[in-house]
Amino acid sequence: MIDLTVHSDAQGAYHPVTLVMHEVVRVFAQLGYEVVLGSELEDEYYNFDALNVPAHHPARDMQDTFWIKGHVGKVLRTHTSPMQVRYLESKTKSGQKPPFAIVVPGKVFRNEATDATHEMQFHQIEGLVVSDQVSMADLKGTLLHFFKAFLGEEVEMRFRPSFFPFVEPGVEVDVFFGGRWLEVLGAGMVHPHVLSAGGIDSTQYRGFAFGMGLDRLISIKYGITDIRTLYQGDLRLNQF
Amino acid sequence: MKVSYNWLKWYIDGPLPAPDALEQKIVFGAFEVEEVLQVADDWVFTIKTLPDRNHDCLSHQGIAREVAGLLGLPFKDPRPTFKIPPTVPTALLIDVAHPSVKRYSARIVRGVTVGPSPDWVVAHLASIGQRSINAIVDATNIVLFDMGYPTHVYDLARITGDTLIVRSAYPDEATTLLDGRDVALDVNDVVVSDTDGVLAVAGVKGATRAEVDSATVAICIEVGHFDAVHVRKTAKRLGVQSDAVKRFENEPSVNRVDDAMVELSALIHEMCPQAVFEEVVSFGERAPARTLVCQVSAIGDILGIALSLDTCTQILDRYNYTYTHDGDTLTITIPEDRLDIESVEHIADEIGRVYGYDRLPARVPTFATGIPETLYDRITQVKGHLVLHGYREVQTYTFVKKGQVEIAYGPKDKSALRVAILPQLMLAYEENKKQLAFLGQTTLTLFEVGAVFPSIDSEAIHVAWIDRDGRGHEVALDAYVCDGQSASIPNKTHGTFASWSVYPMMVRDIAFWLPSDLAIESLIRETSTRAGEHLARLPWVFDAFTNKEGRTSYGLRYVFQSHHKTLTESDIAPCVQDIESYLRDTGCEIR
Repeated sequence: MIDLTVHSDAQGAYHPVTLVMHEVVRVFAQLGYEVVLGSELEDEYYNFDALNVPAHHPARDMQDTFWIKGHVGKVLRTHTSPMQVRYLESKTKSGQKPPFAIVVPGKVFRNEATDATHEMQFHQIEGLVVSDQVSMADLKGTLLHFFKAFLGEEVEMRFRPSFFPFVEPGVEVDVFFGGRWLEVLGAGMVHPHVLSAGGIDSTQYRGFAFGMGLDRLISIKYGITDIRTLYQGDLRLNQF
Repeated sequence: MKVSYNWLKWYIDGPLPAPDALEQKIVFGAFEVEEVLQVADDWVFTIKTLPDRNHDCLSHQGIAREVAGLLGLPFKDPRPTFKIPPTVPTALLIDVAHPSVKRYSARIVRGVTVGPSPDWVVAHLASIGQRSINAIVDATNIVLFDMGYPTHVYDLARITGDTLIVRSAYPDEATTLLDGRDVALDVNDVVVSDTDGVLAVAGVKGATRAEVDSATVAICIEVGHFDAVHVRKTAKRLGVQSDAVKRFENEPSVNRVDDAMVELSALIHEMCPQAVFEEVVSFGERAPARTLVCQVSAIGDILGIALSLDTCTQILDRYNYTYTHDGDTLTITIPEDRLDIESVEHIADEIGRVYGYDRLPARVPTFATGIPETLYDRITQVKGHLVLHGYREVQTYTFVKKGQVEIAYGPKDKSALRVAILPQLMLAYEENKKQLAFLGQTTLTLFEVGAVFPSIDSEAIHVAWIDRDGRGHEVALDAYVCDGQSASIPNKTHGTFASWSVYPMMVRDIAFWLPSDLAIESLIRETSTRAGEHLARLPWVFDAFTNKEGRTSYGLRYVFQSHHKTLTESDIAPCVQDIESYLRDTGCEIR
C-alpha cells in the first residue's frame, strides 16, 4: 500500500536521486571531501585517454559510448571519472598540492539496451583522494564507513580483484545486505598514468578512487526494481 | 572463456580443490567466474578475464599458471615436454613487408594425413564446447585454447612459388574467406599472400584458395604476431568475431610465436608420425626480458600494511617470478608473457590479491573541511527553495528527437540533446495530471534542475518549473532568485518503495457530514481497512468545508487499482458499500 499522505497539496518533494545523492555526499562531506561537478558533454580525451583508456583498445569496449555527430572528440561522459583528471589539472595549474579529497556526483550516459537495471542515462558518484600516503587499507576503511552509514551497521563488505584501466590494483566491491552479496562499485588505487595526466608526480603521491552507480544504490536501499521509472517524470516516484 | 577443470589438471602439480572451492579461490584471487557446470566427468568454468589479462589468460596454460600461483602449487610448464620432430632443410622463404608485423614464422610439413584426431584431442575440445573437425584444424584449435595463440595452416600445393609475403592488401584487392564470403580488402588490411594473391587476411581469417581438406598431403604452418589495432579494425569491418581475433586484439607476447610453433609442430608430429618437418623460417626478434625495480616498503604502502620481504617473496615464488633483493629493493624479472606488469602498482596487485584483501586493515582518513560554496550547494539551495514553495521534483530524459547537438549512431528517439527542459516537463505535467487521484493532489506542480545543450559549446544548468496554474518557467541556474528561505534536503531518508500498477485506476468519492465527536483521521484509517484488497493508497481529503451551523463536511477520494487486471464496477461496488455502511454506523451522514 502506498502511503502518500505524507505529502499534502502544498508540500514539495525531492526526487529520489536528489535524496540519495545528498545522503551519499553528506557522508563524504563529513570526512572533509569537497563536492565537485563536471560537464555531461565531455572531451574524449578526459573521458578515455587521460584515464588510461587509449583508442582501439579492447578496454574501450567495457563502456558503450554516445558520440556526437559532427564533432570528433566529443562524447557524453560514460562515467564521472573525467573530473579526476580535470580537478587534478586545475589544482596543479594553481600551484596547489595534495592532499585532495573530492566526490563527483552526476549524470552519465551509456549506449546500451535498456531494461529494468539498465538505462541510457543514470547517475554515478565518484570519489578521489590523492595524498602522499593513501593505501588500499584507507580505501577499504573509507568505503566500509560509507556503507555502514548508508545501509546500517550490520552491513558487510568485501573486495574482489578486478580490472579498470584507471586504477591499479583494481577491485570490485560487494556488500552483504538484505541477505545476499551484491556488487555495488568499482575502486582501486589511481593509476600512475592518470596522476601524471593531472600533473601529479606519481613517485611522490598516490591516490585511491571509487565509482558507484547511484541508481544501483537507490534500488538496493529502497527497493526500486525498475530504474527506468526514475527518469520518466513520474510523480508517483516521490514517496519519501 | 570456457575452461575445463580436467584440462587444467594437466598443468598443475598437486590435488586441485573441488570445483566449488576452486571457483571461490579464483573469484577472490583473480577473475570473475560466471558459471561452473558439470559436464560428464569434467567441470567447465566460464571465466571472465579482463582486458589486462586477456593477453596471457585466454588459455588453459595461462589460467593454470594463475591458479597454481593462487593455490601455492607448482605449475607444470608443458613447453619442455613438447616433442621436437627431426627437421630437414627448407626452401621456404618469407617476406614480411608490413611494418606492424613484429614476428612471423612458418614451416613446411610434408606427408601429413588429414584424418580424425586422437581421442584426447577430441576430449579436450569437446570439454570446452568445440567440435573436432580434422587432425590439422584440431591441432590449431588446441594451440589456440591451450596456449592462447592463434595459428594457421595452408595447403602447400595451393601456394604458388616458395615465398610467403606479409603485406598490405592492394586497394580493390578481394578474396573469398574460409566461411565462403567474398570480401573486398583495402590498404589498411594486412594479408599473407603468394605471387597469385591473398592466402589469408592476417590474424583474421584464411582464404578458401589455400584451404586444407581431406586431400591435403603437404601443409605450410604459420605462426605470426599480428598487431592488435590492425586485426581489430579489419575483423570489425569484415564482421569476423572469432577466438583467434579476440586473442590478437589483446596482443599476446611476441615470444609466444616460438612456443606456439613448437606446440603445433609437436601436435602434428604426434598425429602424423610419418610427416617430415622442414626447418622453421622466422622473421623478427624475440622481445628481451624486462626487469622492474621496486621497494618492498612501497608495495606495503600501496596496500596499507607492513609487508615483510619474506611475505612478499613467498608470494612471488608461487608465481615463479625470478628476482634478486638488496635490503628493501627488489629487482624482479617480469615473466615474458606478463605484458601487463609495468610498475610497482602491478606488483602490489599481484601481492595484494594473494595476500588477501580481506586481511587488509580498514582505515578512514579525514581531510580539512571548510570548503567554499560550490555549484552543488547552489543547486541544493535552488531545489530547496522550490520544495519549500510546494514544487515537486522530477527527472526527464536528456535525449530528445530534435536539438542542436546530435547523437551519432544513437537510437531513433535519442537522436539529440535537449536545448531546454520545459518541453519534456510539460509532457510530464500532462501525464501526471492523469494520476492526481492516486497522488492525492488536486493541483499539480513540477520542477527539474538539469543540464541543457543549446549548442556544442554551451552546456548550461537550467531550472524549469510548472506552477499551479499550469504555466511553465525556465531560467538558467544563476538567474534563479532564492528570496527568503530554502528547505534543506534531509540527511537521511527512510522507506520502502512501493511500485504502482500499470492497470487503470477507478476513483470513488464519498462525501459526508462528520459528527463533531469524530476525527477524520480515524475514519480514513477505518474505512481503508474496509475498502478491500484493491485500495491503492490511503483515502485522502479532496474537499472539506464547515457550514453556517458548524457542521463539517469531508470529501474522501478512494482510489482502487489492481496489479493484475483492469478493475470493473462489480469489483469495487461491494467495497464501496462496506465503506458507506461503516460511515453510517458511526453516525456520518452521507451526502
